[in-house]
Parts: sequence; structure tokens; C-alpha cells
Amino acid sequence: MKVEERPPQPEPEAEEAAARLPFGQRLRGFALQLLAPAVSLLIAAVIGVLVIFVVQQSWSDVADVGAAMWSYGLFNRNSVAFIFGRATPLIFAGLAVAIAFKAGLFNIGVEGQYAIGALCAGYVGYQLSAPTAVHLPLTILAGMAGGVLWAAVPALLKVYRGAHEVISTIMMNFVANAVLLYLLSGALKDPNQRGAIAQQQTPEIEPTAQVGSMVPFFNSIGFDFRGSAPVTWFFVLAIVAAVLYALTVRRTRFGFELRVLGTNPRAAEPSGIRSNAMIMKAMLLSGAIAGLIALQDVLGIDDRMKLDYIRNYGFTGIAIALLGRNSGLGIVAAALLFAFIDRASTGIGLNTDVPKEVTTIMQGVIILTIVIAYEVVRRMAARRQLREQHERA
Amino acid sequence: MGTEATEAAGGGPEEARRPPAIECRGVTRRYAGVVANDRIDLQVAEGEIHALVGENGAGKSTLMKMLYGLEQPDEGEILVRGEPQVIDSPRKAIELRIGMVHQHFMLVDDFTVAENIVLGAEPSRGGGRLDREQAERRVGELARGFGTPLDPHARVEDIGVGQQQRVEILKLLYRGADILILDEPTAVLVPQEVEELFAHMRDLKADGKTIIFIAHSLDEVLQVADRITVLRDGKVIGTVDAADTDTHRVAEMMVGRPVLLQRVEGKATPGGPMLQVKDLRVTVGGKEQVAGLDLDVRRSEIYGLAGVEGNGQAELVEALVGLTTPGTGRVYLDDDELTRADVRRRRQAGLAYIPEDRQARGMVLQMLVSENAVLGQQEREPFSRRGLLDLRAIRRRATELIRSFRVKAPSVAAPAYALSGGNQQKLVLGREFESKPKLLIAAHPTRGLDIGATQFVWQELVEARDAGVAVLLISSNLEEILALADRVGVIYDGRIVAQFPGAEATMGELGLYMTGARGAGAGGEGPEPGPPDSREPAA
Repeated sequence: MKVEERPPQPEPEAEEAAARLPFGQRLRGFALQLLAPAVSLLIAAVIGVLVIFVVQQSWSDVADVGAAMWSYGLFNRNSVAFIFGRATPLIFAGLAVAIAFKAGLFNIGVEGQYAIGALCAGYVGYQLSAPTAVHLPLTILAGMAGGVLWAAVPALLKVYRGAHEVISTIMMNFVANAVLLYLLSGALKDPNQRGAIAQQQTPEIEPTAQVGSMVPFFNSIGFDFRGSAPVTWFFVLAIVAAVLYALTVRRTRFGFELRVLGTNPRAAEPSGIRSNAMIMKAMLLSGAIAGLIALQDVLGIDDRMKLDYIRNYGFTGIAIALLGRNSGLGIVAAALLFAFIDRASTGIGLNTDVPKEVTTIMQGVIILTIVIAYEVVRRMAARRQLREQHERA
Repeated sequence: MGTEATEAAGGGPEEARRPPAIECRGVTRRYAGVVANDRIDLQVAEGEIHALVGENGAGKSTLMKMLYGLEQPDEGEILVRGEPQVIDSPRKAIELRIGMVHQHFMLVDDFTVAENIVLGAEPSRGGGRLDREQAERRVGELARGFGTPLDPHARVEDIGVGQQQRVEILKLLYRGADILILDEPTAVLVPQEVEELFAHMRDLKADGKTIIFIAHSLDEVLQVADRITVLRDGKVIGTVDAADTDTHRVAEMMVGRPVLLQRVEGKATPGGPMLQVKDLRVTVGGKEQVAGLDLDVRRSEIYGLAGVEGNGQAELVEALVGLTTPGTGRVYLDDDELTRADVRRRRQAGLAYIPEDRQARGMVLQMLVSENAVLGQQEREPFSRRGLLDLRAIRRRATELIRSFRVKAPSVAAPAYALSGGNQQKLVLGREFESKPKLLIAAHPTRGLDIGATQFVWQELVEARDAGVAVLLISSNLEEILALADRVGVIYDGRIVAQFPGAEATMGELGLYMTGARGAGAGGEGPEPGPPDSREPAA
């Protein structure tokens, strides 16, 4: 996670001595960081194989699954588009969880925050009429504002009343659910629906608030996706957000203070860091990013806010942040991995006799093993550190 | 020093024939190169109250932990009632009928008194069911037997601290202990409760129990103990009969080490006041820890604040740094009123702070050496501009610090936990010295450092002083105070009870004020050696 920046110009004399670790050591450190995810993926694969074998009693099914994951998951005509599209909300979700985590906060409420964000964006999207240059940014801001609003309650409760954010954010998830149900089946429900069963959903969003598909762009650089492939420009926004996140954490004073607070809260106040203010900022920022999670679905794919927006992005985001070790790059990689596994599961369903739920098992195993693997690697690193210290002394 | 120290010949005042309840022979315990207990010889006679006194870090707690099986000696042997024993766990200690009351009580708050006492050795009705009636009856009998009025049905959270302590002691008696170790039992009590505790201790003694207790206040020790053993720097200085000594002489034994390091004289003369504290009161946990304290520290002055730990220095420092809000009073830094300012404002106004617990409060071990080198100054140029960090400037500062403070670090890009403890300390000290402060608050700055590093830090403190910095030095090490301070104040019970020019202060005299043997209750400042600040008038 800790990627050292490399200034292009040569270091001034004063820095030469100790500014950087020797290259070999850095390489080893980097390899060590890749080791944990690699090991946990391997274990997940092994357990996946075992599950398939136990259920199906045949090795050929195992081979089928492997082949389906590989060929369909990666090389189906639309797979790359699907993976990018599916990764988009997961990247936002991972970032939302990670920024709170950097300050030592567990934001379990991302789920509720994005639901309210999506609702706000959906409302502004169909209610307002304005040119795209105004309407679309306002709609996106409304989504973020909804997330901020929902994160503000636990943040205020924590700062002023000491309520633990895990409890209050979980509770806010339930409230968000109820609010969604109430408004989508009432005040915000689309009145002009035909057919016997009216959906609990808002009217369609104005075209000026819709976000365009990225398929034409991809096809212009040599891909061949179907027009309906679910990838929008939000994917680019997600990548930009990940880059901004990484820069904020590494290169800004805010990020510095966030990390101090998150890793050693007892050192924060003596260092002139206003812990409560930082907690507020981190939580609100987390909520703002959470507000973006479902906007691709609302503004780019379904073009309306629906009740089924409880899509577990928030909880998957926790896994993504964990897997990506709260680093911008790591979160993008983890989101792409989860998106790939989702895509592969479609392939398993289509091309084999194995239940595609086997991929859910694999995702679960990855999350469990990654925690253990990181701890093992951390201890290995600590031991090595100790040994080196010993040798120096 | 300790001329009256008898080499504790076997046996107590009476019953010289019976073997001592506890005997340590050459007991040594080292932690990571530090000798906490150095060839300790100690004899505690059966049926006596034996006090252990000494400064913080003198090795009292380590010794008690070894007697209770929480630590094992590296060398030497421990004899219990004349038999050599390996006490490798508290369980073994309990088998040997040794019990310990820790400074922090080990009680389950929402259990009743009786439940707490029988916990771990419950009377059973069979099938793992607790025989509550029998438990309460036995606890009631036990309490009455020792003259302790205790309601066995009361919940521990509902009874007072003194009563909770009784519960702890009864817990030991219930298990049949007849050697009781009490770790600073008076620290948590108000004076009246202390009297009750002492009465209880005398009753226990009359009942044939042996009591070893650790205490800070020499007055208290002399009131209740039969014999006193003084520890210093991990060594036994001597054991004396309480009847043959007084606080003065014990204080001398406690602190009167030969001064190894020379007093560092500086060139600067103190200027006008930089830090002014007026009638400061800080209440923590219901107790007024700082009780109307007045203090001023001038430019180019090292003000040494001496005192036995727990007399309000920690709370004073927290209030001065901005970590706690005082109840009343005023704090000025160079004419800025900062009474209620937060740490950031105070740091901007020119405060530097070396916390007592440097690893926990002064650094982030998981972050890089370079990042730790600017912690607390992260908003200053050139380390950050318009909210953006300048990583090269930060690394440059770290490299400078490593060089000028001789910090051994593999690289400034290594995590701070890769540094040894002493080097972590030096990094924090260097960072605060180099922050160009107006006021430097240094809490126990040399604790945990070896002689060489100590000398270095002393030199740095003097240089800071000579450069015009006002230095408030808090230390329980009198040698350090006497070597450095231009003025010395003694804090006792949340107040400055005496103030001396640095050159005129003596260990013995400071010791008397520190332990409350003199000056306490006299009300405010007014020591015998002339009025405060007799040496130089304010500039």
C-alpha cells in the first residue's frame, strides 16, 4: 500500500544518505504486500475447487468451471465492458469505506448513504429541467449531498454524544430503507405507469441528467461491445476519485492528519490535530463518496430510481477496502476482481452444470482469508524488521 | 546516605527464630538490557508490616510482581517461609498463601461483594451451580472476623473505593493468604479512608498476617510500617526500623544518590515571564488534581518542577498543553491568553511539548520516520503549503534531525517502529527542540535514556534555555532538576508548596517537601529558606 513517490530529479545532497530504502529492500517490501492477496486468492481457488468437487463429484465439472470463468469471464464479447461497469460502484464503495477507515472509523452505513444519495439524485434528475451543463452536475451533487446528510447524523452523534459509529451507521441503514420504501411507494412514485403492477419507482430522469454510455468510446478505440453494455462515464469518474483519494491520503496535510488520527489517536491531539473536526470531515467525505455509488445505475443504466436499490454495494465496499488495503490502486484492483468474479459467475451459469453460487463462496473465502493473510504477512514483516534491528545493534 | 541501614538480619522484631515469611537472595531481573532489580536481598519477617519505598522506576513493582509470580527472576532465589520456591504464576503464589492487591482493582463491577470474593473458588451446589447462600454466609463471617463491615449483597459498583479495597483484601483472605502484598494501597484513598485502611492493616497484623506494601508518602509509611526497605535504581539501599528513623532520613535514602552528572551552567540570565499560570484548577475523575496552582516560567530559564508522581504534575501538563480544560484559572503564553485554546493554537503560539509517554502520545509508530519528524508541525512551512505536503522538505528535516540528534535509523523512509526505543525518543526530543519554541514543556525527558543520551538531552535543554526558550522541566528525578533548573518548585497535592533558586536547592530539602513532610497544609508558597524567588528580581 505504501508506494513511495519517486521524484524525477536527483535528490539533493542532504537527502542522499537516508532518504530511501535500498532498491532491493523496497522491492522485497512490495512483493511482500502482493503476497497476501495472492495467497488468499489461491486459497479461495482451492476451496472453490473443493466445493465444486464435493457437490458435483466430478473433476470434469471443475475443469468446466475453470474454462467458463476464463473464457466467458474475460473473453466474452461484452465481458470487459461488464467488468468496468460493475467495478464502478464497487470502487466508489471501497473508497467511501476506506476514507473513513483512514481516520479509524468503521462506516458500516455506506449502504444507507448511497440509497439516500440515489434517491436525492433521482428526484433532482426528473424534477428539475435545465440544460445538461447545469442539470447533470446538480444531480450528481444532489446524490453526494444525500450521502453527506445520512453520514452527518452518526458523525454528529459520535462527536457530541460519543455514540459508536458502527451502531449508529447500521441503524441509519434501516432508517434509509424505510424512507426509500415510504417515498417510492408514495410521494415520489411514478404516476404514469401502465400495466397491472405499478413499480415502486420514480418517473424517468430527464435526458439532461442522464450520463452517457462509454460503449461508443470503447468501440472507437477498437473494442466491439454491444450498445447495451452497462458501462458509463462514471467509470472514469471512479478512477479519478481513486487517484484523488490516493493523493489526498499521501500528499495532503488533511491526509496526514487523517492517518495520524487513524493509526494512533492518542498522538493526534498532542500534535495539534483537532480529532473531532477530523472525525466530522472524514465521515462527511465518506458519505459524499458513498452518494456516488448508485448514480451509474440511476443516471446511466435504469434512468430512474427504483426500490431495489439495496444492492449490497455498501457491504461489498467493506470487502473491497479490506482487500485493497485502503489504497487507491488496491481498491480499483479489488473492485475489478470482484466484478470479474461476478461476470464469471454468469459464464458458469450459462456454460456448466455447476450452480453459479460457487462464485459467491469464492468471494466469501477471499474476504475471510485476506484478513488472515494480511496478519500473517504483517507478522512476517515485523519479525524481519526485528531481526534487522538486532543485526544493526 | 543511609548510615542507619541495618543489613536486615534474619527475623523481625519478635520471633527471631522463625524463618522470614519472604526472603529474597540476590534477585535480579532485567528488561531488554535495563536492570530493573539488581541483586535484591530482602527479608520480610512473619507478622510484620513491611514497607517498600523508592522513586518511580526504582524497581518496587518489579520485585512485587516476582513475589506474586507475574515475573520470574533472572538470577537469585526467593524463599517462602524458609523454603526456596519457584513462583512461576499467581496460581503458585496463591498456593503458597501469597496474595496481592493491585493498584487497579480486579473486581467485576456488576457482581456482588460476595460473588467477587468467591470468584474462582466458588462454593458449589453441584452441577456447576453457585451456592449463593453459602457464599454470602461465608463472606459475611469472614468480614466480621476481620472487623470489616461489608454488605455481601451489595454490588461492587455501588460501594466506595475504600470498601472495594476491602473486598480485594477479603478476596485474598478467603483464599487463605497470610502474606499480603498491597501495591500503593493509599493512592486511591482519601485521608480518612487511609486511616481506616491502616487500622485494618494493624488488625490483620495482630491476626498474624504478614503485609508488604508499597507507598509514596513517607508520613504514611512511618505511621503503619514496622520496617522500611528503600529501593533506588533497582538496588536495596537499606532496611530500617520505622521506630528508629524519620521522614528526613528516609527521604535522603530514597533520593540521595551521589550526583554523577555535573550541574550544567549556562550563560543566559532569565528575562521576563513567558508562561504565566494563575490559580489553575484541574479536576479529573472527581478529584481536584491541580488545586489553585500559580507558576511562572521566564524567558531563558529552566524551571524544574519536582514532585512525587501523582501530585498533579501530569494533569498540570495536560492543562498547559491544551489536552484538558482547566476548571478555573488562567494560562498566558507571552501575553497571549491560552487558557481554553486547543493544542493547535498553543503550538502556533510557540509551544513545544515533549510528552511523558513519547511512544504513545508523541509519535505514530506505523508511520514513517520522516512523517514522525514533523508531527505536530505538519501545518508549518515548508512542510506543507496550502494544505499540500512537501515531502522533500519533510524528508530533509528528518535527515537533519537524524544527523544532529544522532538518531540511528535505517532510513527516513522506514516506519518509526524500525527504530529502537531510545532512538524513537531522540527523534521526538529533537523534533520538539528544533521547532523553535518560545516555551518548551518537557515531561520526564530523560526517562528511559542511558547516561550518555541523558547528558546529551541535558545539554540540549541548556542550549534551548540559552537561546531564550522558557523551559518547564517536569521530572521525578531530583538529580536532573538540581543539575538543570534555574529555579525549582516542588509540587505536592496539586500545589506548588516551595520554590527555591536552583543553586540553593538541596536533595534533602526537596525530598521533605515532595513527601509532604514539610510545607503540606502550610498553605501555598512559603518555604523556610526565604520567600520564593529570593535570588533574582523579575527583569
